Formats: sequence, C-alpha cells, structure tokens
Amino acid sequence: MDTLFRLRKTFFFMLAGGICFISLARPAVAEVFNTEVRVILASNSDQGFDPRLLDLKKDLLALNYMSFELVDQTGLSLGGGQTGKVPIPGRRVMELTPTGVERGKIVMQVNIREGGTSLLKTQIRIANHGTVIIGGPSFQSGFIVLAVTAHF
Amino acid sequence: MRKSRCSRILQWIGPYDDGELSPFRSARVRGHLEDCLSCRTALKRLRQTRRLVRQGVALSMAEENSDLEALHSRVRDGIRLQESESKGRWWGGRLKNLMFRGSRILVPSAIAAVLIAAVVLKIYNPLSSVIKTSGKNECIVDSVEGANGTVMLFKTHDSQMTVIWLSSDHESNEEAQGRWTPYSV
Repeated sequence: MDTLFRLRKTFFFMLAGGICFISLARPAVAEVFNTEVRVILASNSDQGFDPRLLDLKKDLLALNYMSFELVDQTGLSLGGGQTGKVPIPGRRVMELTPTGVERGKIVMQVNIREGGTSLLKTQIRIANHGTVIIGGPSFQSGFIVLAVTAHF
Repeated sequence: MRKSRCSRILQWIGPYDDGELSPFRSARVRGHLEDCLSCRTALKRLRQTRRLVRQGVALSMAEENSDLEALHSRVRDGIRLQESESKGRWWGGRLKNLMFRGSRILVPSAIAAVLIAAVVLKIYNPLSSVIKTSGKNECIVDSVEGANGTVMLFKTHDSQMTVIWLSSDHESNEEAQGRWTPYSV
C-alpha cells in the first residue's frame, strides 16, 4: 500500500513539475511577431475611399484627406530582434524591428529611410492586435500613410 | 385565680393570634387581654418572636435560593465548559485528521489547484485581455526622431489611434496641427 502511494506521489510530483516547467518555460521560447503594413496614399484627388481600408475608415477620414488608396499590403513574421523591410513609394523603405513584449505590448522600432538618410526613427509600444498610423512622407500629389498592425 | 385564668389564656393566645379560636373564646381572650398587661405583653412577645422567625426563615430561604442559583450557575458553566471542550476536541480532531491523515489528498490537491490556476492564467492572461478591450489601439511612443521637418504625435477622435506624422516641406506645421487632437502625454 505504501509503495503504491509513493509511486503515485512520485508520479504526481513529476507531472506537476512538468506542467510547471512547460508553463514557465513558454515565455523563453522566441516569439513570432506578425506585422501587417498597409501602404496608403492619401490625397485630395477624387479617387474616393478604397473599400479595402474600411476597417480604418474612421481613423483615416480624421486625417482630412478626400482620397485614400491602398497601394501595397505586406505581412511580416518577425522574430524578436529581427528586422523586416517594407518598400514605400518614392524609393523609401520602412524597417520594422520588434524587440519583445513589455506588459502585453509589442515593443517595436520603426525606421523610415530614404536612400542613406533616416526620415523617421521611432520606438513604439503597441497593444497586441493594435494599429498605429505613421504618415507624412510625400508622394506625387499626396502623402504616404502607413498603417502598422502587430500581434504575437 | 387570676394566675390560673392567665395560664389558660396563655394556652389560647397562640391560636387566638392565628385566628383559630371560636368567636366566643376569642372574645374571652380579647376581654382578658384588655385587662391583663402581662398577657398583652406575652402576646406582643409571641408576635415579635413569630415575626423574627418569619424574617429568619425568609432570610435563610433567600440565602438558600441564592446558593441554589449559584450552584445552578456553576453546573451550567461546567456543562458548557465540558461541551466546548468536547467540541474543541472534535474540531481539533477533524483538523488533525485533515492535516495529517488527509494530507495525502489535501497537499497534492492544493498543489494541483495552484498549477491549474497558473496554467489557466498563462493561457488566458486576463490582464492582456483587459488591455486589449480597454484600448485596442493603445500605443506608447518611447522615442521619435525626424531628420527633416517636424514629427508630430496625434490621436484620432474615434478609436484613439496614435498617429505619428512626419511633417514635410509640402505641408506646413500649422496645416498638419489643425488636423487632429494633440497626443496627450
């Protein structure tokens, strides 16, 4: 009876240890940050609103431009510290580097380059599944607006 | 003669005082008492004695009663004490059973409960869901640098989405600033 009890006890503690190890070891595993970048051209032309941007309609219309057109959409799966590049019209490039998660928010470094010059360099902490708008670089008769959505 | 009458009256004086004599005899005693000082004194003494006896009896009864009450109280206290002790022993026994004999179930159950709670919290992470629901587009801008022009931070009205706007040569700062609500830091 005692032997059986000891065996059960050992099994239980091994199981508990296993569960504990799995649950605690999980954060140590390298996380993948899925980032979606939508490149939008905002202008005052009569193009209207691109229906593919309906989820951002209210926020984009707040920018007070008449036309919003989705130029490009790029999805990136990046590991912590890994940099992904997204081309932007006007021979520019956007570099995204998620560095980790802090209090449920994705810490990300964003760098917009034009040739060898950095136009904008920022570090943001974005909520999981949250979106941030980065805009301003001019293109043709309008401006480039970048909607960055990230989740892990 | 008087002595013999007094001695007879003194025999009846007790029943007279108790009202147990016949009216005729009671009238004879009353008549004698009016005339005889020694018999009146005897009646007075008898009454005093009886009063004292009554008072003494009442006092002793009161003492007895109080003693009895104290005894009852002591008995009740004793019973209560015994009951509480036995109850305490019962709970103590139950606790002892639970802690020692039942430790084979209790301790692993407690550990299992803690582990399950940890795993559930890890998977569902209620804190992150609070953050998600309270502000889906919540964003903190730690640092920002712009090479040319000015960088401005705004929030959109509806979903409080953060806008980082690089103001270029094509658009003046005044134009850009007039577009959105300034970012509250």
